[in-house]
Amino acid sequence: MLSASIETATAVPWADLPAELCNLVVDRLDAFSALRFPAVCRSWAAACQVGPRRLRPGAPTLLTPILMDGNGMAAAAAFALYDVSTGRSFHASVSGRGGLKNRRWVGAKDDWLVTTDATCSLELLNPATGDLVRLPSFATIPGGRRDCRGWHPNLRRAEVRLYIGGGDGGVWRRVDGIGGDHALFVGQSYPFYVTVPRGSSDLKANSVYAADLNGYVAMVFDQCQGCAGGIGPFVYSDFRGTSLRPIWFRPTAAHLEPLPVHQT
Amino acid sequence: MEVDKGKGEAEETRKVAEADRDTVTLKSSDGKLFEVSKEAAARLSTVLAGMIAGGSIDDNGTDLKQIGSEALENVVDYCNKHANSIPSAALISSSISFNTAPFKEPEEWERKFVDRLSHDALFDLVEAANFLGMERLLDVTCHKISEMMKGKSPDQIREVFNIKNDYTKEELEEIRQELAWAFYDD
Repeated sequence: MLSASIETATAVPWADLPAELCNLVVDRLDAFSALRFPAVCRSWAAACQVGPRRLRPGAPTLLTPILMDGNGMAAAAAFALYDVSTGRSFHASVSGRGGLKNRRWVGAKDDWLVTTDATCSLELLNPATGDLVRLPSFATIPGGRRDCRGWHPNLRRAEVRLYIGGGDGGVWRRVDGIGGDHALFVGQSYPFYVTVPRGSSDLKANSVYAADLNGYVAMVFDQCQGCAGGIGPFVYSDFRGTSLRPIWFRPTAAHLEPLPVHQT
Repeated sequence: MEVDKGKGEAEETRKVAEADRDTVTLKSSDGKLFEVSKEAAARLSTVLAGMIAGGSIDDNGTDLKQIGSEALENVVDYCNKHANSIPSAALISSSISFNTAPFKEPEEWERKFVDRLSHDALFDLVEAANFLGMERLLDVTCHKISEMMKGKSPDQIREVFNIKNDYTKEELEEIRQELAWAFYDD
């Protein structure tokens, strides 16, 4: 009477899994899978209402490595996301092809990380989905520095040249500008503004959060007028001191627009 | 009187025997009996430990009306296997300790134990473990369930667990927008 399909098509009401068991399962999920859990059905969403155990979409986080090899590359696909406004730490790993293994990150934009390896092979990596876009090597930038460790702007030069790269095996091409209403931030980590919700007890308005100051301590500067009044370091426990520095990371679903290509 | 006295002695002897027994008999909701080591039952289940300590164990089969025979068989099987296993190094020192995951990784035999279960049997077992207060078995079963949904889209999870999508189109769109970055393309 029981056919083989009974085994695959489960008959028990998984949607009715008691809330306490749902939470035991969510506790064991990585940060990204935990976010998807409530989207499955209403009763699972209701179970997750008890206690905010998940990463909040759009929340500013510090991305830190968990395991490193001797050369400062990520030794595993795993990383930690530290939600600075709640002080909670989440772990996740790159799905699929292990896109962080033996690579280091040199920048982040929205839901993408820029990673490089010892041979300067550049990739864009979406840590949540495992999506990977190969970029031309830094070495192909005309007159560029062959430094795989990332971007080191030389601000004494009067001219800034912008290059974009894309497509498998493509090259870097110079562009004329970055578009009418855009501004570009450069530096060791990717800075961004967030709008602090009125009455928020988590994030402090009119403050600067700075990562990677003096020995891998992150700071929050309150009432930032000249940023004199640092109100002290906040502790994020996942980071094991290495040369791969923590980076600001805020996954959103921003849209990337093509830039005008420089005509020579 | 003689007869009564004799019966009383027999009762006394039986009670002593019961206390000395090193197994307990458990009865499933559908009336099947299972024997399990008293030591393992008391060590792995807070509920059974309480019943043993409180003397509410029935020699003819302690009724566990919430647990079907298949799930109870798995519970007993787990207790017996656990009693025979030697904790490995992996159980004692977890490789990485995350703030959000301070759980001990299942041992190899525990993985195999839950891997061979059908989805239905897994569901019944996790509920039985919850009912009996079996922390370690809850660890192992919930770990297995989490493995089944890691890296999957909500659609794929619904498919695996045969869950009906009870969100409206508008709600789904709202969720999608909030979590767009975390979703796989379906």
